[in-house]
Amino acid sequence: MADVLGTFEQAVLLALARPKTPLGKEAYGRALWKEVQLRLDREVSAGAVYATLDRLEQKGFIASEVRAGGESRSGLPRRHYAIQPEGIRALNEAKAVMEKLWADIRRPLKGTA
Amino acid sequence: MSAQPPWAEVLLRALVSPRDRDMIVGDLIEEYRETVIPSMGALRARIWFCRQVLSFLRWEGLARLRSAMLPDCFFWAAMAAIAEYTLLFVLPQKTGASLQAVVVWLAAALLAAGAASGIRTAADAWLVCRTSVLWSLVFGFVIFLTVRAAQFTPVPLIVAFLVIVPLAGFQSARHTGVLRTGSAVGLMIGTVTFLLGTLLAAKLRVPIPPAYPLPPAVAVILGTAGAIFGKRFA
Repeated sequence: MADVLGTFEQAVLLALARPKTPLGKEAYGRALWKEVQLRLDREVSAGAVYATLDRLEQKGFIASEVRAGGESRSGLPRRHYAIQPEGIRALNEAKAVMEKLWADIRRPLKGTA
Repeated sequence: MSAQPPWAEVLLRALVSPRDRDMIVGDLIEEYRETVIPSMGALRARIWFCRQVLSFLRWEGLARLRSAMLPDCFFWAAMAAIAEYTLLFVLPQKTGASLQAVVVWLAAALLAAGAASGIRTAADAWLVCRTSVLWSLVFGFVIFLTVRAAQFTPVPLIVAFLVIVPLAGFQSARHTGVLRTGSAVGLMIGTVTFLLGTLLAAKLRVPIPPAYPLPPAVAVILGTAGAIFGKRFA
């Protein structure tokens, strides 16, 4: 089995697969950045999101294409991302691993740390 | 409208890959103009922009920054010239070390730099440093005991060296699955051994033996040999 996706990678892939906001549906860098922050409910640095996008693209989990940008960004282009079947498979695998890990364990855990 | 700090944009462009340069800068500018300035105000928005730029300061980003600032050949030629001048002229004068010893130090430092440049990821580099420091400390302890012994004999040092270096190479390759981490660890321990040996020779007031430049070279071979086995257990 390949390496299981980390939490952050899962958040980025889920932001692509099931965006929660209209901006998230546009699926370009900034839109995904905000979508990930929304999902994780915390501030996330731009560098972390773009490094993850780059890594996921290298693994073949996502693909991208460049489109023209508007005036709000000084005419600079946007990179739009799309999740690939390998990405969906990796997400399902990550979910299955977590469920297997927590199977038969009653939550919340009790006891002293 | 308050513009983003121009120097931060220049730094950002130097830190990110040319492939994504315009897109990332565009995304940050868009967020800065549409969300951050209206919600935070000009000053805090500029701080936010700088913080985001600094988040790109990673291993790859620093390498790009260096290549963006100076052409590689010029950079290395200048560094080599400075290092040579310092080691061959300034250091012997200031410390009284022999020229022969300084030349050997230079060779070891170059070998260590060569091994370090073979490490491509920050995680591997960290592991190499940690493993090298740990095993160098063990070796340093053996040196300490040997020097404190009533009668000095180099046998424990040689045995410890022959055991420690392959073990360190084994350990690093077992963790990373990469052979060159074993070579790098070997080279770093070899270099430390070599420097500690110089100090020992000075303390015991014995001349530097002719085979003295060998530890780094032998260590890289032993480290690689250990790594060949370690990789199998990765």
